[in-house]
Amino acid sequence: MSSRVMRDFDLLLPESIEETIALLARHKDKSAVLAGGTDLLVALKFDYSIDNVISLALVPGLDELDFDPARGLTIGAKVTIADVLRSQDVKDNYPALWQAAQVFATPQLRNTATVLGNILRASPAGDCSAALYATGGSLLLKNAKGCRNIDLDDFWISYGVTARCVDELAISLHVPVPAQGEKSAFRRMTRTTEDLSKINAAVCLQMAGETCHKARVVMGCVGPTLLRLPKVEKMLAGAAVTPELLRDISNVVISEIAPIDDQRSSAEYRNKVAGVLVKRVIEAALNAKENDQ
Amino acid sequence: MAEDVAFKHIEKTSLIGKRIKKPDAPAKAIGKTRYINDMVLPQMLYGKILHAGRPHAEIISIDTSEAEKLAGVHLVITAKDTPDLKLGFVKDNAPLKSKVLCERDEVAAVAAESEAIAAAAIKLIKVSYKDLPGVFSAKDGLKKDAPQIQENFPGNKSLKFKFKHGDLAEAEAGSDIILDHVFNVHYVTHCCMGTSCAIADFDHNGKLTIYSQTQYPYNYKMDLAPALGIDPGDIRVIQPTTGGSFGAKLDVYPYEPVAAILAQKTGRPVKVLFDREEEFINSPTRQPAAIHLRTGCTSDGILTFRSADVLMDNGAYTSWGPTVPVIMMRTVSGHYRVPVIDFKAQAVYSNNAYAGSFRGYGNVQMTYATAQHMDMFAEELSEKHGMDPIEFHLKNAQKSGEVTPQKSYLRECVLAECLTTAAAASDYVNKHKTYTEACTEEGRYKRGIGLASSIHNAGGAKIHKSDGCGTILKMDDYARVTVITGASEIGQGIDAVISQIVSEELGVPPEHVTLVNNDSDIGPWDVGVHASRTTFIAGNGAKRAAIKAKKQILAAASKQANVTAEELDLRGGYVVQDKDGAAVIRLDRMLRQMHFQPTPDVVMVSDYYEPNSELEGKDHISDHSAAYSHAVHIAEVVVDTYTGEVKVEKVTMAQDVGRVINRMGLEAQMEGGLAFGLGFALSEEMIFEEGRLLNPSFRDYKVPTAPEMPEIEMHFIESDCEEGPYGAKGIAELPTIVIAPAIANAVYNATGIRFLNPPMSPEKVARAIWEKKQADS
Amino acid sequence: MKKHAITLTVNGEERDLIVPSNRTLLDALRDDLGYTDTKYGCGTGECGACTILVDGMTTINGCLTLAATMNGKSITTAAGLARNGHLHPVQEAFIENDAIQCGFCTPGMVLKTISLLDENPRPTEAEIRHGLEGNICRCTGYTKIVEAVQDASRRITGSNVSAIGE
Repeated sequence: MSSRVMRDFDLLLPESIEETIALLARHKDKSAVLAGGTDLLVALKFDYSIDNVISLALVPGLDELDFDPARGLTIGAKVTIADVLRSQDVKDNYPALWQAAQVFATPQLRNTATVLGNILRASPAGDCSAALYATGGSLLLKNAKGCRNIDLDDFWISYGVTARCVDELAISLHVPVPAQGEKSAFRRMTRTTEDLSKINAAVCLQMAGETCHKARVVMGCVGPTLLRLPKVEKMLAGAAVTPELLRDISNVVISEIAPIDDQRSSAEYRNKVAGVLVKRVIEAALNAKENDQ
Repeated sequence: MAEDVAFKHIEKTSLIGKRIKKPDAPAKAIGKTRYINDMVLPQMLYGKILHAGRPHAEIISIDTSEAEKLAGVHLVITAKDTPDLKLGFVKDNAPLKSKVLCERDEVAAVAAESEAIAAAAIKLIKVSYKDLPGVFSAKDGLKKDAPQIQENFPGNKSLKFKFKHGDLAEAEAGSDIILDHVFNVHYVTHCCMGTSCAIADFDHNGKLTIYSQTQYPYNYKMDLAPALGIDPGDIRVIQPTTGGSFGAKLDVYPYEPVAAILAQKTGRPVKVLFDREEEFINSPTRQPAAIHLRTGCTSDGILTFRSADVLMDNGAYTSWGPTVPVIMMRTVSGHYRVPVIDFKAQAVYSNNAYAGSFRGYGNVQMTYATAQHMDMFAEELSEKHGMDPIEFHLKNAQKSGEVTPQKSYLRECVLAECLTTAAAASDYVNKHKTYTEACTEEGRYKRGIGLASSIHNAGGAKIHKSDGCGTILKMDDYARVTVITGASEIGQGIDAVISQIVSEELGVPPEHVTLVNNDSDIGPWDVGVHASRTTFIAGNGAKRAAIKAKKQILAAASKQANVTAEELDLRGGYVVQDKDGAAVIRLDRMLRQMHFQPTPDVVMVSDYYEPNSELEGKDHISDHSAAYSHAVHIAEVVVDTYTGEVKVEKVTMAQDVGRVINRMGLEAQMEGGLAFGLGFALSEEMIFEEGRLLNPSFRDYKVPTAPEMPEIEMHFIESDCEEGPYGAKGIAELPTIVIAPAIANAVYNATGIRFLNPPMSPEKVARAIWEKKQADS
Repeated sequence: MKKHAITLTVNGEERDLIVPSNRTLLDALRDDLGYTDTKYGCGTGECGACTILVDGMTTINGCLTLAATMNGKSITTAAGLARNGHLHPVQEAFIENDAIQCGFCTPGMVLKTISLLDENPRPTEAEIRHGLEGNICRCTGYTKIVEAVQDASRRITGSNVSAIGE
């Protein structure tokens, strides 16, 4: 309709996870789950029509943000970007996620938008999603039949489409304990400071001294989903991260991405700056002091 | 002598140049201010417009039956209900359309009990269109086989302007350097925070009260009446507080007569309020232009001629946008001393959005070109002849008393002082040299410094038969002052300036002055808030009215004190002896004594101030403003040559303000104006595809936010304008005009690349840098 | 469409109301309860004109919040900041520093500033600018707003007034 008049729907306010799952089982694709709602409500004002909106507002047990040095990080479905930003554990152990949260949208939206919502939105521009794709993690999904874990690597199928079944509720995200010597970072480019990313990148590197053992390198806004860059990851694995390697990497990036023209930027520009951004994000990860953007 | 004045002495002080708070700020801070967007009248209906959403089409049929049946819908109207109604600068527009000429075209309108019902009803209107081939650029509009957009305008030719002075061929022959470039200035829009709104209400006698955001309430009546088929005298305009305007509300746009027609036909008040998407798609834009500029100069650095050929995309209808050449040509002929001028401009109809007036009014566009040519000359003369860049500017800067080829009389001209002040404060010459040398070195981040200047009217612009403003001033028995002025408040702060001026003259605190300026049935005539005129014109009017009141009071007091009126003054709420400030009588007592006597003498004065400017004629030779002013901006930037990102770190500005009246309000106008120019230069751009706007949201149309703004250093040069109030000149457009070319010149200094087509987005800057690298290697 | 009975505490007053499922908190405040100090600027969470404080110091966009999910919440708008006839120090600072022109963004700006100073009473200029990036002002160019926030910071930290003004 418009940004002033939202279309009609019924708002359902379940009070437990079980009740939520039962509602999902009943309404399936005629329903949408509302956690923060910063994407869903905009969609409901414009191009998206749905009969039932199932709000998690009254559902307990979904706001856990917990870091355990032995088990890793758990992020519940109602944990907001602002919650993540307030967490010293996240800042210390998952710098890429913390940096993504820091530049995410606006302060007001950070107070409402959830980390899981960002993942479920399946946008190639998702900042927290990019950071988490680099760190790795798995989602806990639950329906009437039971629970399953799905790796983020397998979760995003195409633009706006995920592996979540229509009757499944995303309960939480689990991020593994950082490996020995793990360093991560997130960087993005925007038109003005407050903006959707026109291109973003996140890395997670396992370092031993100057040598990188393993790397996950993610780039956003350069394809229908967030992309990992396997060639770059391979170049980093087992290599000393030298200026020469970074230069070579920055030349290879373009062969791994397929950006398009849109309102925020052009394919040409994204292709040209992608290498610079990947180089920059790797440098940021290695030089932890500069991690505060 | 009354007891309370014994031994009381009040020194002469002045408020002029002080920091005066805006009187309406507290109500705004606590959210008590009632904006038009907040208003609800009893029995009010909500109007909603169906926009075509396609650029060029015949309307085969409209079926409104389903919409009419929806519960809560009172009325649905289409063009057949309003066949003869016209609006616009050349009356080429209509409230509702029978043929679609652009995306925004108003095809039907609904009045309903709620906004949601009105929105739902709009969706139920079925229109069958036959799409037609469109014209999407001025160039295409001029082609022989181009479809004709407007019935009465063959060849799609809209407004056209011309000015010539001197012998161009001779001047070209006498030039050592001739620059020749085409600058393409893009579409941007105002983005007022309060979206467009009108509330219309008819009384039993057929008189319309329209609550409006207009910034020109008196001529507004004249423009609105033919769109309604009523007499302008039967329209009362009330201006509730508005959420920004910046030129956007200097014309009547179709949603306003639509609200009135719905109100007339339903007999109920009707409110039309845009959502943000409608605001982007349906508001006027800044006039885009392709400016072919040629400028000549001798090897001694003396300008020889300037010729400008401007092609403007008129869009589908003619609002104020295509009239901006009136100001563009003043820049061509008056930005520095240029002896020979050849200016022409042609507007061409298309199926694109149409432009209105926008802070800077043509000068944003033209200065983007002229100020870059000045920089190009300075660069070349410095490189080839070792000329100091500031010296080049100074050689061509006019001095007080000079007259431009269009007869703009630069009575007090301090361009040279603006140049030297800004250059010295920013260490321009040294930095410019250092960055020029560093430009070709290796390295990712490049620094640059850029200078630009411009001239603008600073005492109105007499493009209408009157550029005047009426003032009515009354004082009550308690020495409270009410000033009824024709001048509108749109957030710019004329409320603060007028209360300051009146209190300066009458010796009462500014808080004791109440301004009434929001009702055309009460206020006297004013031409409108535009052309940097309101402090100048309305300020002069208020000052003159206050002086009349003061004379009346002092005349009465002189009889009582047995001294001449010239020996008395008003200070601090008292009548005092001018020489030593000895209090004679409290002002409120004096006013009561004047009032309550056999022959009452009540203070109720009026004034109509008409500036001494000359009407802009067809030949464009007239001293059309009561004052002219200059500004110089020096921008310092850092360019990331890998990504094309331009960061403006600091802006040093020097502007001829005539005289500072309200220092705080002046700074605020400078900063706000600069933000507009910065957004225009770097991030704001309306993206059109075949006449359709692709980015109608703040998500995709990027206005500057707090982190984008640079450090600003301001220098106010006081030229003491003979005609201006206390010497002041109008100030609020120059900051928007000058900053963009200053940034462009700084980016050149950093990269060696000229950007003729704003905005300087990272995409454009990066591409140019890569292309240059390839060409260099 | 379902309707929901909710209770909101707005500026300290408990208000019962019945809202349809799709009513935003912004519309409920403006149209149902008359708090027109909360503004519609864009409806998509970009401009911050609808900023409000929820349960203390959390700022959210009223335009992207469903009223029916806010049952039992406590909300503060710009109209609810004055205490005992005195304006909030942030409001004072905005007035004194000429940070207000058309004023349409002001209520949201003031509330965002209050929450920002609550979290960080002595912010740097960069922190202020970053903190205000979700609030668009088209009039001021932000300079006077940043100065007002700095002034408010001095007022609050100097006088030990808590940010909400109690």
